[in-house]
Amino acid sequence: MLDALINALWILLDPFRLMMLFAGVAIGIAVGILPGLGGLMGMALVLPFLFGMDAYAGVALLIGIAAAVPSADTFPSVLMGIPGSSGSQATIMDGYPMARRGEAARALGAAFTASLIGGLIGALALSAVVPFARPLILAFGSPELFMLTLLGLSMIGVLSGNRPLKGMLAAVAGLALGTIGGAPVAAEYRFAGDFLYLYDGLSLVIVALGLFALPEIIDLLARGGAIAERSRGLGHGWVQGAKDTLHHKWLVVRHSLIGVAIGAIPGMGSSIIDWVNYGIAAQTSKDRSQFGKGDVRGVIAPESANNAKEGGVLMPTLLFGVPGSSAMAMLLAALMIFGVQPGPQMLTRDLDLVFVIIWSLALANVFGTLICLLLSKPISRLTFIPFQFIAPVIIVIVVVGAWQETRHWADLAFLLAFGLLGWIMKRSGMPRPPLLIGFILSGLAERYLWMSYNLYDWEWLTRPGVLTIGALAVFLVVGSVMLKRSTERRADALQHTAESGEPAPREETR
Amino acid sequence: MPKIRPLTALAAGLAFATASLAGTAQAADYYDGKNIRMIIPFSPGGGTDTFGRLISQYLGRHIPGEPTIVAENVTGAGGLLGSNEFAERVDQDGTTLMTASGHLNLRAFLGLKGLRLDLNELEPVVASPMGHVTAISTEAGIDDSSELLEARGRLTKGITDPVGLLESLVALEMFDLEYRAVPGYGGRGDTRIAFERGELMINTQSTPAYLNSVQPLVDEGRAMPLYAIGFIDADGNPVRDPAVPDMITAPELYEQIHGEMPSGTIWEAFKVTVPLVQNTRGTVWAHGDIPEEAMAALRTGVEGMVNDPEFQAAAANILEGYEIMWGDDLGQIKASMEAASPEVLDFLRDMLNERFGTEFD
Repeated sequence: MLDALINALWILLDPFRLMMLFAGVAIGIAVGILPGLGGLMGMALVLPFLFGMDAYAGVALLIGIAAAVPSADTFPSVLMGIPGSSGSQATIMDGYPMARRGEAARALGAAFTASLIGGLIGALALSAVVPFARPLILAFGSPELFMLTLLGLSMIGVLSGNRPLKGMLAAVAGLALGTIGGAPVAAEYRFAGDFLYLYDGLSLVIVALGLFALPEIIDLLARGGAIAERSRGLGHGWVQGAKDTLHHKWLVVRHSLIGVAIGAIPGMGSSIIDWVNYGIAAQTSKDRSQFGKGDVRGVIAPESANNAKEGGVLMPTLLFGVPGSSAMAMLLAALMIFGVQPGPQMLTRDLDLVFVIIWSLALANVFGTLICLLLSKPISRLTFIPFQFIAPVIIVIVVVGAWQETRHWADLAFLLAFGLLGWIMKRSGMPRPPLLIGFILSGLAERYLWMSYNLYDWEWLTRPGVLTIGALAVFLVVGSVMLKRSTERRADALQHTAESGEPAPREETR
Repeated sequence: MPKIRPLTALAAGLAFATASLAGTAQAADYYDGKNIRMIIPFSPGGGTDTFGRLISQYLGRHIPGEPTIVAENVTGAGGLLGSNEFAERVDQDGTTLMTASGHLNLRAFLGLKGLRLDLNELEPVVASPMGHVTAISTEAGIDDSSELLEARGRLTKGITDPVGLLESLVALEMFDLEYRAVPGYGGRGDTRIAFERGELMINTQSTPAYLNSVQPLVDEGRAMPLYAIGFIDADGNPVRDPAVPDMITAPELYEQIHGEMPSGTIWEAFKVTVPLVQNTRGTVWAHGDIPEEAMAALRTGVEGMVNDPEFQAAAANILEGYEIMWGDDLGQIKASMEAASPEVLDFLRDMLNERFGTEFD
């Protein structure tokens, strides 16, 4: 095993393969920074070049892209409040308020350090767990997956701040929007009429860009000035951010492991991972008064998890040939081109390739985050430029990001519609993340509920996995309410002593 | 890649020599300076997409005039958006091709609601076949596939998309087996995991996927192959799957159990469905009314491509042990469509509609 591990490193250190890995990292950073484009897009771009390429080089190229995207997509999330790809939506929650306080470099420093550590933990977990991952993956049947969607929905409370009712309302609206299009377990199209575009339902990229990007752009333009409200110098912000991450090292480790675990479960999709991690971080914090207002922990948790998840999604991809995320479908296609059949026998027949994948993942994470760290200081300066100078570019990028979903005119119509909805929600103080979570989980919850019933009638309710996850969800919700009460009491006590203090900043980002 | 030019020229030259003389003179310049757009109505990464990209990569250099073929994934609505675009919104002059999957062909053939693709107006250019194998969990308590009808327990069968799995469903219906269909699975890989987990009792996989990922379960004594779907020859007789020639086919198993070959509408339905799905795991279609010289150029290109050793090397992994279909063999696709009587079509539509609520126009 150790021989193979070292041997694989030598295979990868070949100059051409290393060059491909770098090329992958560069492409990953580019598509990560551009809102709406993600790993799938980057990998699709290079697929034609894989015919006839050496398998190790091809794999290094693809893994380079997959590993760099979740680092680079942090830039737009933090700097502009626009999700860089579907994996970094939750980073907006605290990263963007930090940028507006003039702490963009600190938020990015914390995010990239967390990404680096998370990515390495992901690669380590993949190499350590891959021989034993089969039981884990097999343990999650339809009933357990349904319970995981409920666990995801239980995050809504904490993502709604102090407006739980409005949050619930938004979540229900999201669940309803998620039912548009083809039903998950029947050949039936809902609310689509004869409009074929809606047969697939609304696109997550468009909903997320609409909800978060357009309202932010409108408000920034209306207000005038730069993104950062207080123009204190950047200073050594990113060093401070890196220190923040190291200070919260257990948070990084915990959320990296959660990211790997959720990523390893096929069928959940990777776009929920950052939200679940953000929710858990907020729910289990003693003092969560600053979450949503620029708490650095709200950046660290999802960023550790979304890099670590790549180690997780590779497990079902390699062991079962089932893509753990949409980008992994491209890796499967590449393996097919190279004549490698994914499956358990990869661990014996193609062990060196498995280790090349793991090394690529680790090295690409190091290179990717280092490049992002180097870029963070110059790019953070964007937040000090008057917004009207960069708005046209941002608008074009957002529109192109939405347009490449299906290149149908309705892409743009729905981008506008959700932009308007997001703006109204923002103005009326209705939290937007619950809507997005409801939307993501709607189809999954329905699918797995019906599948559980079709498979087991009602017997599925008594499965141990179902009961365990159910108990965990209840524990998280109840526990977080109790934690919140105790901190509120303490905060009240504090407020009595310092009545004249500065009022808490308004939560603009929700 | 300058070093392969002589080879390409040689292959193209050979193709010229063998192609029919009538069309070639004009065919030589039809694609001069033109590009061909290859619509792939699915997301990047699947088997059909990979086949479409393989063809896009190698076909152009063998077509006289050497047009560049650009593969484009036009996704949405389970392939409907891309298919409809190809059917209605592009110039029908041979500058647009489409790669369809077997189940997209079947959807078009049965007239799925919303799909405006009419296969009768299209002409296949090149295709790749793919066999399928159905296995059962040993939990069902049978030791031999001939005891199939004595299988016990909830015989769950995972469904991804009922039309896409039609050949395996028709086979189960042919045996008149009481199975419980569970729709909602994301893909055949997911059903394979659920099968190993014990959630599903019956599982159908493509033959390469079966050999790769179900065979290990068989070796562990946890699953048993029931039958290969097999192929159907021009006279309507079952043919063994070339990738698993030792495995009994579904009609042969029927004969073994009942002492006679299957008959009636269900047998006719089987004979129509199987070649349509299994011969066309990936099919490149052109519009039927493109100029003759364009069609001739495409045919010349395909002939040059399949004889190009570089293509053969690249294709070997992607075709997974099956021979590419081209030239006269493509006639089978149209022949099996023409062989379908209206009763058979209604039977298939009713079956899908009753069991899964699938709607047709």
